[in-house]
Amino acid sequence: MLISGWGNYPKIDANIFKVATTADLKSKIVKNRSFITYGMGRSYGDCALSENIVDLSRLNKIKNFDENTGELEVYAGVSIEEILEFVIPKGWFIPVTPGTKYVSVAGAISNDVHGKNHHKHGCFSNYVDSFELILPDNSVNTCSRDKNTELFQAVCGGVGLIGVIITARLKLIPIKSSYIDTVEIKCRTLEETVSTLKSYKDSTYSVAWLDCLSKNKLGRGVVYIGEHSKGMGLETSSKHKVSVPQAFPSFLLNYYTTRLFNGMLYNKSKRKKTIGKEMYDSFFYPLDNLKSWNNMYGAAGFLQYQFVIPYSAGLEGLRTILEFVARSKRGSFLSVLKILGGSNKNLLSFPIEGFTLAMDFKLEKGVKELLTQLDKMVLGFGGRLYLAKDARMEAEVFKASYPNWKEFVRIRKELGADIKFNSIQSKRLGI
Amino acid sequence: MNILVLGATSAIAEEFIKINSTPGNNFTLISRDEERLGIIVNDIKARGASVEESLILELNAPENVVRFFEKNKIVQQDKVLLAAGSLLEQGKVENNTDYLIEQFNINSLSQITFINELCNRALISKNGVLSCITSVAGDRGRKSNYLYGSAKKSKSIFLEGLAHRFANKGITVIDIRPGFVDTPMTTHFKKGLLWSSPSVVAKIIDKSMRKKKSKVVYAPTFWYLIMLVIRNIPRFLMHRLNF
Ligand SMILES: Cc1cc2nc3c(=O)[nH]c(=O)nc-3n(C[C@H](O)[C@H](O)[C@H](O)COP(=O)(O)OP(=O)(O)OC[C@H]3O[C@@H](n4cnc5c(N)ncnc54)[C@H](O)[C@@H]3O)c2cc1C
Ligand SMILES: NC(=O)c1ccc[n+]([C@@H]2O[C@H](COP(=O)([O-])OP(=O)(O)OC[C@H]3O[C@@H](n4cnc5c(N)ncnc54)[C@H](OP(=O)(O)O)[C@@H]3O)[C@@H](O)[C@H]2O)c1
Repeated sequence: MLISGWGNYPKIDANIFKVATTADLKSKIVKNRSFITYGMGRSYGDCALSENIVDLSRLNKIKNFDENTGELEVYAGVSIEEILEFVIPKGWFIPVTPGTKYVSVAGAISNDVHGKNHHKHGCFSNYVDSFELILPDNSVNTCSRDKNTELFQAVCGGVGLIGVIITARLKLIPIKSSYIDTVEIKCRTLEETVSTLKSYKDSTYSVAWLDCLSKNKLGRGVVYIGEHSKGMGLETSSKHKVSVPQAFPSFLLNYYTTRLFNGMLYNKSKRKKTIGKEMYDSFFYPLDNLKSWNNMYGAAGFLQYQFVIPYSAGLEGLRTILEFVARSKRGSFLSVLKILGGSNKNLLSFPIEGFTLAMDFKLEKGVKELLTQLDKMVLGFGGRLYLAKDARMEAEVFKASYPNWKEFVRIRKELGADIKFNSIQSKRLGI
Repeated sequence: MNILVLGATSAIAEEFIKINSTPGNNFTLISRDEERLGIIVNDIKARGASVEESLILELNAPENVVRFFEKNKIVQQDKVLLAAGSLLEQGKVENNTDYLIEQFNINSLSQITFINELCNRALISKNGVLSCITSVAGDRGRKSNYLYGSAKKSKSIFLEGLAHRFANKGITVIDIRPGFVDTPMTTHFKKGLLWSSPSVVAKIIDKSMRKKKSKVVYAPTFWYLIMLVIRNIPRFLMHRLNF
């Protein structure tokens, strides 16, 4: 069956096996020479794609929840959406969440995802107490920071290449309200956007949208700050979603419409600073309201390019990259800038202390060449690319920027995981 | 409220169970897969409902059902959902009678037996609701799936009669007829506009069971119109169509 990641590229014909039990999973491990696990396919590129795919979306169940301590045990395929609907009314929240709630817990662990609070709370794995992992020899292993530490650190961020996660224990945070107190600050220049983000580093949540297109106002943007609200109720939202059809005429999304959209976003508010209150959903997951928005880029799909560069490369690094992109006239519909706190001990976890910028590029002639140029710049600044978004990075770029890759490969070989678990990405990256 | 689900591991049933996993509801679950049942039981309990029992039953022979009721003491139920089913291979039926019998049993005779045992043993409470998933496939015989269709249709007729029997006696009987649903049963089908998710179908089932009105429910409703058209295609034309 044809399948792809969120970017609709690459699209491959794969054998898909849906498993619903560990017995089922174990038999697939025995029967298949090599496969990769698939959560909810919200990674943009090819980290969950291969000729054989084991789909864990049916393991979407809760195992146990302690309402007093906020300790939650779930099966691998449960989504953040389901967790939130279940725990919010009880006064709990997921401590680290990506920009979509349609990700599985195993997917979140496997990319060690970060949220708008990375500078304060780190990656998703920070709140994973332990997980159960099935290895190529079909043994079930509990991994935590204290037990099977090496496995824990290889699996978190390990893009499905070590073993298959079946359950996980998470630690939630208490909330008084499902609303977020927000501050929105309009910034006229890149300097201003960056310094505003930095000045709010003590706030729990922060993110900036950047205009990467407008010629002389490059880098202007809006900074969004948020804190869990103390008042109002604990309701969950179940808004009706609008869907983008598969046959969306992608020519509608071009340099000019994208510029127009970016201008509109910037001019949405007249004021410099707007204080407000938003439901958690619209603060954390604005894109989820437009279901399958990825189809907007048309059948050829798109690439998301997310890099991080250290603070030392700073503003100049960001500006150089943005100017280069602007000159190419290949607009990113939406560009998101965040600050990341320090790195953790997980071997392939993406974040390092610095700025991370994510840009979308419709797949068309010349885009890959442009991104290859960007790779060089990012490497030059001491940065790296996020595997969750990647569909094209070359092995040399990866190896030069993820120094722990050798250790990762050693562990894979030792477990026989290099034979059992492979994705198109792992083959391309040579790991 | 006591709720019994046969075929508890079906994707549609699992969604129905999730909707009803609220404090005060007590489930009896029946399926073939012990581990999967265990996973569902955990989820139910974590959500605050309780589980009376989870039991194993293979539906390929109706005698299994008879033995099942002799062996297990089932508590009286307020809601019953029958969701088991097997999308058989029509091609295989044409030269394999054992397969035909087994598949007809799974999709019809064993389930009818199951309902009959429930009724004979007064295991449905006075104001209880029984709903059973049949299919739009039972609305018209087609060369590509007429054994599955006839099994579903036979259940529909049985349910219709049962609803008649219980009319004005408190018990509600609902015949759920889904169209295309994206579940493990249909993994290998190409999905398009007419497809629904199991959660959408489960919500329709849940709503209709709360309304407590004996009827046929197309899930979603637009299938009523589609089947109205398909039922009324004249035979001579039907025989020229290929679906
Ligand atoms: C709109 C949008 C916004 C996003 N925002 C952010 C963001 O703010 N921050 C961020 O960090 N990411 C973000 N992402 C990326 C997303 O969070 C990650 O790609 C995440 O891993 C997707 O989870 P998934 O369940 O879809 O997994 P998939 O994409 O299906 O798989 C991801 C990886 O997990 C592995 N995997 C899946 N299940 C298992 C298992 N049971 N055992 C072992 N390995 C497994 C797969 O093999 C694959 O390598 C965003 C994505 C989208 C579409
Ligand atoms: N999917 C559709 O498009 C569609 C359309 C119309 C009607 N339906 C009907 O909807 C109902 C639910 O199906 P689904 O789509 O949710 O499919 P599903 O997830 O594949 O569920 C099928 C269920 O039937 C059970 N079952 C199969 N063979 C059995 C046997 N021999 N003995 C006992 N139980 C058996 C399965 O149990 P195990 O887990 O033990 O295998 C499972 O619980 C079925 O009656 C189906 O016919 C489905």
